[in-house]
Formats: sequence, structure tokens, C-alpha cells
Amino acid sequence: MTSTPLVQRWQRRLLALSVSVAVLYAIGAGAITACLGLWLGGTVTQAWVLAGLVAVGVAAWRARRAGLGRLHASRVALWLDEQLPALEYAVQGTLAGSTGSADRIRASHVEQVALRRAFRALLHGVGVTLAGAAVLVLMPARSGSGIDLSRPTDARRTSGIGVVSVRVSPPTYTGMPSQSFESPELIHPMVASRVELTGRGAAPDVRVGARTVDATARGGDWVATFTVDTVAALVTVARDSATYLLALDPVRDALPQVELELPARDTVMRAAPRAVGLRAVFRDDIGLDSTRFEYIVTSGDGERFTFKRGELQPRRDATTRVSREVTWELDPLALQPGDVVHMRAIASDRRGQVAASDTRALRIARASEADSLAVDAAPPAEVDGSVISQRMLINLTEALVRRSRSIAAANLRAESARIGRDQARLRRQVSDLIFARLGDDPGGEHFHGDGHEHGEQAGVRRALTPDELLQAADRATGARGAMIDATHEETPVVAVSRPLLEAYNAMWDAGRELESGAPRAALPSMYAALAAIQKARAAERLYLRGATRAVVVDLARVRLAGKERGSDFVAAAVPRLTPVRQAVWQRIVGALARGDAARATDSLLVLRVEMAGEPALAAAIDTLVAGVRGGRDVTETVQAVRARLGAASAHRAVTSWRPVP
Amino acid sequence: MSPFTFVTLQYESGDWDSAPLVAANVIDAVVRHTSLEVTPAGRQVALGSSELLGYPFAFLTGHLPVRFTAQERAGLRTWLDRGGFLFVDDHNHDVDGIFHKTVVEELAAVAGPLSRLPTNHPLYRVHFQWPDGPPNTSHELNGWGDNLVHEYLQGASRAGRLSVLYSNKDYSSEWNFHPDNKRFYAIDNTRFAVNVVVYALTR
Repeated sequence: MTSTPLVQRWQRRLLALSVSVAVLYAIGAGAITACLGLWLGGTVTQAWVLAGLVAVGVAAWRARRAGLGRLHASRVALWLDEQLPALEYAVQGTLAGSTGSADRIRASHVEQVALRRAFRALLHGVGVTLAGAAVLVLMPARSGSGIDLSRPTDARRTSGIGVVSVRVSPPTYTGMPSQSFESPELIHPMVASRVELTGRGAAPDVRVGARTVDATARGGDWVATFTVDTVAALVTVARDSATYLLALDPVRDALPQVELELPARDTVMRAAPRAVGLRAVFRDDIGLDSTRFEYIVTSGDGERFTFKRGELQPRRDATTRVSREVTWELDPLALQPGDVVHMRAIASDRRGQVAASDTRALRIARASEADSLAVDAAPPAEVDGSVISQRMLINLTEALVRRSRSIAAANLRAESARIGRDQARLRRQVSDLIFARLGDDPGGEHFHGDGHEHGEQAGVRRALTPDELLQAADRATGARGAMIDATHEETPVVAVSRPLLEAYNAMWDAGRELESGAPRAALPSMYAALAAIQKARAAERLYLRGATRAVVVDLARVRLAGKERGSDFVAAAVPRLTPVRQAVWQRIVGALARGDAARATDSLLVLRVEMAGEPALAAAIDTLVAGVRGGRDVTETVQAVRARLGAASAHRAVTSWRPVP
Repeated sequence: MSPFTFVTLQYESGDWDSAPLVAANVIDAVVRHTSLEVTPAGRQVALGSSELLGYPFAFLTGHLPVRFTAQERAGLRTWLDRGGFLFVDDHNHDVDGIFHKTVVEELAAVAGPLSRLPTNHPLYRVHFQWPDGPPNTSHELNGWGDNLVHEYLQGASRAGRLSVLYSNKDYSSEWNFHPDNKRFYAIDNTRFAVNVVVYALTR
């Protein structure tokens, strides 16, 4: 035996081995890639195309690694020499014409060693292929993105109907591509999609819900086409005794989502701004068509209102998300005090559906409400008389001060004391007002409402002396001594009466100066008293909007005074609704009790289509179907379905109205 | 059964409190003409709050544009789904005014498009008889601003029952007086409110 036949033989063997290993690697990698693609949500076609590409790539890589294009004799000889170093490169030497090594080659067991090495390489390839097959078999079917990979569990379908190809073409306006599936259990097509079913053999009976769809024969195939409605339906394909079920869970084109980010909230402004910034984010699941801002300007009050309405910068936006920012010049609107500007953002999608954001209002304040913007005027307060009197006393005192240089000191003191007595009388009127507010007897200057009873026994009221009242006023006004802690110690009554107590306090100071014959020194306190009274008056002219006073009807008196009896009526009994949910639960239990996974799956699929209006419940039933089909323990899933049933709202008759817990 | 409570809806836009005496007046009318158990004072309930689910009847009025927030829209839809009855009245004396336009848009989005109620609708017969449809208001007849009579009411139904009643006859002005002053009227002009309440509670 020469080395040349040996090298030639191993040239052929290595070529076959390299090709085989490359093919095995390609099969394994392709299978794993296909599973991964499907698991990630791709279509069957996409998955297999991707798998093919990966397989070719892996095969090319293996071929290149094995040096398929370079398997010439010297390389094969070198490979053989490498398998058995004891040959000391005899195979290569023989190939080069050396005859001394032939016996050594013949005596060696180089072929056995090379065969073992080739077998190990082949085993690696087989291992990769088996791994791919295992992934293909063991990877759970993923339902989602409109695909359910699992094949029908009912043997009747595959044997009688064969594979049914389903092609879903979404409406043109969506711009979405068509999708193809093979014998799916459940698909989620867009509403108004066109669905084409094809299969082999004679045309079967095809029904979509209660509607019959014509299936036409074409060569050896059949074709049925229908349009997806808005409601979930079960497609039934039946031929002879075989049936194939396909659940349709249509997906509606959602309304656009519009969020007005600026202005962030309703605003009241002292004067109309020159411009206002608007910013909004528009979104749509399929695609927007146009976006714009809208405004309404309302003018007037009471029973008379006028309005202007308009749009700002309408624009076509053919995307799924856009953010727009606009500066809106308000000058052309010539806004007046009391005007309200309502703003919102609006979007329409490709299907023509329109949605709007929340509305923001910008109100221009009236001058009369500038100090308290969310209030309306109430009737005048009861201290007007005091205001006039205090002002009169100030006028008299100012006149006296002006005349002070021209009159005798005794006359000045007498005149001043007379004004002082009037001031004291006015002070007592103010104190009466405070006591009336506090609910005390307004007959004297005593005070219980400052929140400082100091542990006195309940029911025993001690009249405050004028000095104590003055101290209370001091505490309330903070004019002397420590300030009252308005948040902890001060009662609401004192808080409301604070300006009057301030006035009372100032009147004491003014009266003391007047009675001592110092009218000039009394004036600052008199001004302070006037200001405090005006503050009290202003504070009490206002009440908050929204706190409207409820009118309580005296029911007994009205019933007794009733003159018109009207005509008797008979309330028609409203029948209670059938406990639908109980029936649904019974159907689930009944389906599971059959013990036949295929029949249970069919029953649950029918139920799932009926429950499509309640996505949470439908999803729970989906999980249950998958569990039953996979032969898993569905106890927890059944509990979840039961919880969903219990959590849903119950329909009640109006006559038995009760608060919903 | 809980006593009937007249609920006035608070909504974020507009002037929801423009007719504060309607509640007392309707309560007075219901008490006067029926034997229903009634809460003596009305309640004001925010449209987006879950408190609304405790009441089967609600009244909504105003002069200004009505733009519900998303929360208000969702709350109203839920409430109507559960059997609530909404009575909406346009407080303006105008025709095709801003309240009318905006509230009709909002109601259509929540309850579906409004349709004209025929004069033989049960609403007009459920207690007092109104064979010619809804009674006219004094504002319509003497013409405060429009001098036009709105001849019909509109509504949206669910499962064969009226769930939203819409009026632009300005009952809010017609009924916005203290019930003690009702003694000066020869005929109680709030009798139609009794029909609305009785319909809402019995149908």
C-alpha cells in the first residue's frame, strides 16, 4: 500500500465529513433561531426566513473552518501525520517520493486513529442538531402579537380539515403589512381587516359567528374571505365530521391621546397677558392625521354671555407621536376684565377619530376682585355706622388740633375730653359688636371668646373688666405683649374679630390721649382705629364661591300644605337581570369537568369570544385555555378566572339602588 | 331604599353653581306631589368622585363652556353604566349657545348622541300628564333673549331606559327661586321636575 491511495481515500472521507458536520450545525442553529424568532413575536414566515439565513451562515462558517476548498493531497497528508506523531511525517514524505516510509505507514494504525477523530467531529454535529430539535420541541408556545403557535389538539381537525392558512390584511389606512398564520387558535386582527382562509381539499362550511361565509374551490384548494367586525367571533370551518375553530378577538383603532402640558392649570390673571404658551403631546396607536389647538372666549356675567370660538395652527401630522408648542398672541382678542379663555388641544387620527385634551381656563380678574380673586360680593357689613362715627371724631379732633394755638388751654382740654367721651361711647359700640358675635350678652364689656378660659369651671362665666378686655385686644392684635399664636391658641371667633379688636384697642389709646387733653397725640390711634374698622368691613363683604348655602326644605310642612295631588302612578317593576356571571362560571366548571382537554379547550374558546368585551376576563380565560391545552395544573388559573368574575360589576335594577361598595 | 337626594354636579369648567335654589325647589315639588322619601336638602357632588355612585339622580347646569376632565368623563360613564340618571339643563336663554354646543359634545362622547324625545315618551306621563311635550318656561314665552320656544327635549338611552335628559329650555332659571315663594304661583311651575325625578327612580 502506498501513501497515494491512502491520501486520496482520506481526501474523499474528509470532504464528506466536513459537509456532513456543516449541515448538522446548520440544522441545529436554524432550529434554535426559528424558535427564538417565534418566541420574540415574529411571524412563522419571518422566523423561518431568519432560520434559513442563520443556517446558511453557520454552514458557510463550518465549511470555511474545515477548509473545504483547500483539501489537496499535501494538506490531507499533513492531517494524517498530525493524528499519529509517531509517524514522524512519513505520509508527507511518501507523497514527496520517499519510499522508505511506506513500511512504517503500513505498520502503523494511522487509519484507525483518523477514523476515531472523524467520528468525534461527526458526534459534535449531531449534538448541535439534537439541541436544536430539543429547543423546537420543548419551547412553550407563545401566544401574543396575534399568533398562537400551538397546533390544534383535536385530531379531527388535522385529519379532516388539514392545515388552514390564515392571511390577515389590515385596513389600508393603517399602512400595516399583511400577516400569515397556519391553523392558529386565536388571532387579534384590526377591526375591518380582510381575512382570507385557505386550505386543501373540497370547500368546507365556513361560519363567522352566526354568519355564513362562502368558501370557493380553486384547483385543489378552497378559499373563504370575510371582513372582521367589531365584536369577537368564532370562525368555524367544518367538513364532514371534522371541525376547525378559530377565535377572532378584534383590536379597535384606539382614540388619539392628547395631553395639554401648558398651561398646566387654570389661572386667574390681574390683566390680560400679551401672549400665552401652549404645549401639547399628541399620540395615536396607528397614526395621527392632524393636530390643532382650540379656544373659546367667554365674555359677560349674570345671565348674559357671549362667546368667540376658533382654532390655532391646524397642521397635518402623519406620525404616531408629536409634541407641539405654540405661542398664542392674545392682543387681537382684546380681552376685558371678566373674560374667560378656554383652551384645549385636539387631534384626529387616520381613521378620522377625534379626541381632545383637558381644557384649561384663563380668567381675567375684575378690578373689584383684585384682592381676592375667587370670591363674590356679599351684603354690606354691619359696621358702616361705626366707620362714619370714627371719621367724624377724627374730623373733630383734626379741627381741634388746628385751633389749638388760638384757644385757651382749659378750653382745649374740655373740648378734647368731650371728643374723648364720644370716642369711649363708640368704643363700647364696637365692644357690643364683638360680644354679639361671640354670643355673649352685649350689655357690658365682658369677654369669653378669646379662647383663654384659663381653667375656669364650665358654666361659670366671669365678666371681664375693661382692662382684661383691653388685654385680650392686645393679645389679639399683638400691639403689646406676646402675639397670640394664630394656629394653636387663637379661636376662629377671635380670628374673624381681629380687626374689630384692633379697632377697640386703638380706641382705648385714642380715648386716653383725648381725655388727658392731647388731641394731636390721639390722632394716630384714631387713624389706626378707622383703618381697622375698614379692614373688618372689607373682610366681611366676601364669601367663597362654591360654599353656597343649602336651603333645607321642611318636608312635613310642605306635605301638609300640598294642594295638588297629581295623578297616581304605578311604578313598573324592573325585572332583575339574570345572574349572567353565575352562568359563565357554570360553563367554565362544566367545560373543565368533561375531562377531555380538546373539548374543554373548544368550550373555553367559545366562552372567551363571548367575553371579549371584558379584556381582563378574556385574558384570564386565555391563560386557562393554554393551561388546559398544555396539560398543566390549572387550579390557580381557575381561581384567577373566578376572582375576575367576582370583581366585575354587577348590573342592578334602578329601583333597588344602593351605593356601590 | 335610601331616600331620594337631589344632587347638583360640580364640574371643573364653567359655573356649575349658577342655580343654587333649584335643588330646594325640586325637593319641595317632589315632597308636595309624591309620597317618595326625600332628603330635605340637596347635595353638591364632584362629577369625578366616587361619592356620585351613591346617588341615582344628578342635575347639571351652567352658562359657560362645559369641558369635562378625563376623570369626570370616566366617572360619568361609570355612573351611567350603573344606572345613574343625569338631567342637564342649559341655563342660558340663547339658541345654539356655547353651553349647548359644548355639553352636547361631551354628552355624546360619554353617553352617545342625543336624540329628540317624542311627545309620547313615558317621561311626559310618568306622573303629571304633559301630552304636548315639555312645559314651556316663562323665559321662553316672554323672550328674555331668544323669544323662541324650544319644543322638545333630548336624551340618550341605555337598555331602553333614558339615562341622560338634556334640556335647553332654561328650567334652571325657571325653578331657581326659594320654595317658600311658591305660594304666590297659581300653578306650581316645578311639576315637570316631579316627572323627571319619578321617571329616574322608577324606570
